[in-house]
Amino acid sequence: MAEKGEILMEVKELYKNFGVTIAVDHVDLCIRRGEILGLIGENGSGKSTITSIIAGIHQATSGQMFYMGEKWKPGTSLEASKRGVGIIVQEVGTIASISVAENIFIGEYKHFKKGPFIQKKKMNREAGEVLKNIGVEGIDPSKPTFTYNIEQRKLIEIAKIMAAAPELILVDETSTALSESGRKIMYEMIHNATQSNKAVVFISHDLEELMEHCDRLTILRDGKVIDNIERNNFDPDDIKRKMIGREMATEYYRSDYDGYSEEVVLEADCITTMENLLCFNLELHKGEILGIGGLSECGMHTLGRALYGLEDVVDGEVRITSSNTVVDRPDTAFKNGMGYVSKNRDRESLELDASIRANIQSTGYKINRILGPFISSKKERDYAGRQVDALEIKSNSINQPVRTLSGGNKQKVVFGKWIAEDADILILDCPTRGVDIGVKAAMYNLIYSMKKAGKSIIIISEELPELCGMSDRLLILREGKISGSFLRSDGYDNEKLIEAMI
Amino acid sequence: MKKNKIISTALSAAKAISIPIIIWVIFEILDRAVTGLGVINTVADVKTLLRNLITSYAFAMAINANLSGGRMDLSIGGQMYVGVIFGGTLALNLGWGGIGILLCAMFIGGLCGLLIGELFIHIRILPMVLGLGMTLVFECICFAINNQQGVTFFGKAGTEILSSVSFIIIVALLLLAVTTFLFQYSSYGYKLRAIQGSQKLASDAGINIFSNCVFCYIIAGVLAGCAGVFETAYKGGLTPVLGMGSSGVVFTNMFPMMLGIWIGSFINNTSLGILVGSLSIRILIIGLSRLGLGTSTQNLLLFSMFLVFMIINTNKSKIAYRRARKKRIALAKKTRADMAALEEMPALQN
Amino acid sequence: MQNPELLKKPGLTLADRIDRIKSKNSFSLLFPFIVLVFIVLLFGVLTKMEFYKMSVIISIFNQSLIVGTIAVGVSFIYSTGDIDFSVGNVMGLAATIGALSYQFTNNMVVLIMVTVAVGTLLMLFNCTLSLIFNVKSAMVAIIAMILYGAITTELVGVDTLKVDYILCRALESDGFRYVSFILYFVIAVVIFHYTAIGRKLRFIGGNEECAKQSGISFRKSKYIGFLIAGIGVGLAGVFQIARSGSVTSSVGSGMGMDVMLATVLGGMSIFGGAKSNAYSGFLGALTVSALNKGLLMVGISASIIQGVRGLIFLLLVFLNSERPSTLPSRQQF
Repeated sequence: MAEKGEILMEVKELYKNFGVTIAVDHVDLCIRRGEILGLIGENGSGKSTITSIIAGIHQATSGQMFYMGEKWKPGTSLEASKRGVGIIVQEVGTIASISVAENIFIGEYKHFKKGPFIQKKKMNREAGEVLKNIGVEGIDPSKPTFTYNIEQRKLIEIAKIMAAAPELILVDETSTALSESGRKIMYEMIHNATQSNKAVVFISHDLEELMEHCDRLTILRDGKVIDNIERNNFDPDDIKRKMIGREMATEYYRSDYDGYSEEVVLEADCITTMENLLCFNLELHKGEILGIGGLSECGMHTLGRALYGLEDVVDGEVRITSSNTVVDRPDTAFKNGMGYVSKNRDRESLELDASIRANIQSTGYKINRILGPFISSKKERDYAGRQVDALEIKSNSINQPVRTLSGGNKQKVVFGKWIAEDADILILDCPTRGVDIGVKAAMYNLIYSMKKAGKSIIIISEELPELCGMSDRLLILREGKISGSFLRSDGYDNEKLIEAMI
Repeated sequence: MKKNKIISTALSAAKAISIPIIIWVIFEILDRAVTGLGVINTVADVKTLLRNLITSYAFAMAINANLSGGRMDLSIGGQMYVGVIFGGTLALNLGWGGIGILLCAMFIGGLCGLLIGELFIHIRILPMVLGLGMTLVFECICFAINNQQGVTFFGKAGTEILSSVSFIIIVALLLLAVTTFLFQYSSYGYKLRAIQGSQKLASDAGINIFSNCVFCYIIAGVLAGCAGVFETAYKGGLTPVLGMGSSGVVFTNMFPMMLGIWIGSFINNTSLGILVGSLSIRILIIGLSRLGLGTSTQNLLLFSMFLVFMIINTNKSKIAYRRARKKRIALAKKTRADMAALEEMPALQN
Repeated sequence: MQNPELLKKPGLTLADRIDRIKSKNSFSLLFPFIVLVFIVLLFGVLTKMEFYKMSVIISIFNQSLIVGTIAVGVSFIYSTGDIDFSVGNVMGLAATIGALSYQFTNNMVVLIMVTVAVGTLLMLFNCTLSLIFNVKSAMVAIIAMILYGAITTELVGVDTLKVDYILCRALESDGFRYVSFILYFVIAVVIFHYTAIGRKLRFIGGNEECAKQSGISFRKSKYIGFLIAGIGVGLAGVFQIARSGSVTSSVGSGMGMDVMLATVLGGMSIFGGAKSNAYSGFLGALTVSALNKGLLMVGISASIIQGVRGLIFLLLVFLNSERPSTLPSRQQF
């Protein structure tokens, strides 16, 4: 009989290394039925690795796991799922080219076989029921998955996991992919699960979310368990301190109230893009850090792209004021001293197979010339080397491919690219996503010193605290329009900001 | 609801079949005007059309088996040579007739597919590169048998069935039925589509991407063998070639395949689409040949048309985009005007 | 930070060691050279030093000249991830038109200029088709191959086109070929490795979107790449004419594949990216040529040589590439 409080999954002395990196260092965990256990820690603390080992995606180097009292060592995530352990992963977990129903039952198609034929009607019907059970509406199981957006696909993935009726549900950073309504569905699902005496492990970067929904919180740092805290002892400062292992430097963000110049460097003059923006106006001043925030579909990412010439601006213009140049293509933007850091780091800001050196050098082809069109290898090496030193990019060699670096170091390479080129106008889209606190602080420092040097920076971010901490001026967008404009000098009022966003 | 579905299915089918019909009509007019001959003049013409059709269809399907998975395999021609020469020789030596030859060639073609499929999943070099290397090997193997003479069907007992119209139609329909089943209703097809979407996710979900890949290669090999038998029956015999000459079949059957995929997208059946596409191109080729031009001029025209088709096909989404763009610009201008009007109002109030 | 427990673990297996060696940067660079040296040494021994006769060496070099020149040029295309195996037919058509122009003007300089110009223009046309009209390069290659081949056959007709044989001999023996080849080779390598062009092309091949965002002008770079390739193809066309003094209707057919083979054998991936370079093609062409000659001299019959070549090719490619954990694939249309 499944009882609340009964131990469902136990992990003892779990140890995992990837080469010389120790991801999980002798971790003990106890997951009980009817309980939502939160795992929190910085990047690299091991939380995702632990859940992926429990779910069978990775294999532990040593240690033991016990599921319902018996030894537990799944070889694949499919095996784990069949035995009742389901995981909702951080990345995309659905295949876009097949139908929704086919995704939901992807490991289970044998269930629908009649002779050599697969019964599509039956599959669609049952998929519809699964979706209804978790409270998702408006998704037609017979349609191909690519007709739905990222959030809906995440919900389809949740349906897939729930269809297998898991006893233990592992949720890895899923809230970032969901909007307000999507998150509601997810919270309801995990609370329902615990009410029927299932267990949930919840990983999130959002401390508030964890404190609101979890019964217990395990704090990890550098692969080790630091502490286990019960709900009635939740104290955000205490938790943060334990996460980082040191006092949070009060100057995490800026502490100044420096202003900015009146001079306009970049303007968007009634620009309209194919989606999101309709006659949008914006001005960026010299020495200003302009923050742009809002809910994820508000159009801020499109705005960032449009300002750099990556979006099709069908009406209106983006102009660099000093030279009156119209920015309609990225190479025009680049030539005029602009830089852009995309929010899809791996797909758009880096060439993963090329070396750290080659990536940083990619902005310096003109700068590193010596005689006519010829490039000096030595100049290039220094160009890249300077950034590696200044930003403390951790790697074995400057020639190693970027794909081997951690998320934080990868982002440093991207930053290094633009700093080396000494861009005057820098557009940053979610610059600290997936980056741990230590590196974040370094980046904020960097951004501030760039402002002091007279550069103009736009930070587009979905994290309000970051925007409040760093911006001179903060614009909140809603449905493609500016719904609120706030100044640092006035102080940022959280309530007013959130009101503008919704 | 059901009525709507039937109507829309009928419409799509009509759209699909209209393509070969339109081509036929166009060339009927052109040919009669230029040389006085029609596209199809005698019963022998129909026979020729069908014999070339089945070859084209089977080859186009063979190319598609791997191309849809992102693998361009140029060794299909070489597999055909091995299948026909070895399979044909074996069957003839055993005293089997046309059907026996067909089955043997398909079997050996399948073995070739198995070989290259297994090689691919184990050494994992780029499929195009593997295909090139294996073409060299396959072509070379064909020289080893029968003293480099290849195989001859002409005048051999039992081979007449390979040129019989009814037999060809039966084989074509069988191919259609089997391939439709494989791609749409079997678990192989389901797995294939999942893998095409994302190898990693499919493999995490327990789908064996390697065995599925080998199966694709086997299917391609079997189809190549089938195509080769009918082609050899048409030409009388098949002599081995060197220097990658065998890869020519891939290029000549690209047009039928691409047209077929396009047609297949609106009747929701790639296999049938490719059959109709092959038919269309065959009619096109015969129509061109009746214009009294030289072979290379015909090729020129044919591939220019292929080029135009590819350009239109790749850019048709652009046309929809342009239309949407125009609409958006209109909306933008209207918004601008509205905003300007709003600005003037307070001024007026002063 | 080294974990002492790890260091005490049993030694790496042979497979691990091989993987370690393969992943070093220098391995990819040196491997094709090592292979070439190995082949030369091997056949030297097998043919009892006959292999090192001057006539043999020169013949090997000559055989590899045409394919090698095209391969060097085409590396500018391969590094962006585009494929173009129509280069053989481009060369054929360029040679044909060049020969025709000679027949009209009886001027060798005109022949050279026209051949190079036509080669360049045709390659630029290929580029336009894939850039402006958005047709995938593999499809463009197939169509171009057959189109240009058909045009060549039409122009050459039943006979062969003849160019003054004596002049051709002069071209050959006066070292014109060597000088122009070496000039082209050096210029191509310098442009690729010491100017921004090669770096940009490699970046486009590695991650197109990232290259765009880093300010690389996609179109401009590709056109420059095709331009340089076109010059190489045209030059190879001149060599082709000079070699036999005539142009047949099947000139150049199949050479596109040989070029691809040579490029891959020389250590470069035909899908481009970070590891691309400008000299692999020539290295590969030399290797193929040496291999062919050596096998012939050792007495292997001509029909088997192709098969042996194929197997060795596959073996070498396998040794020189990293085995991915999933299956390689690429959207071709």
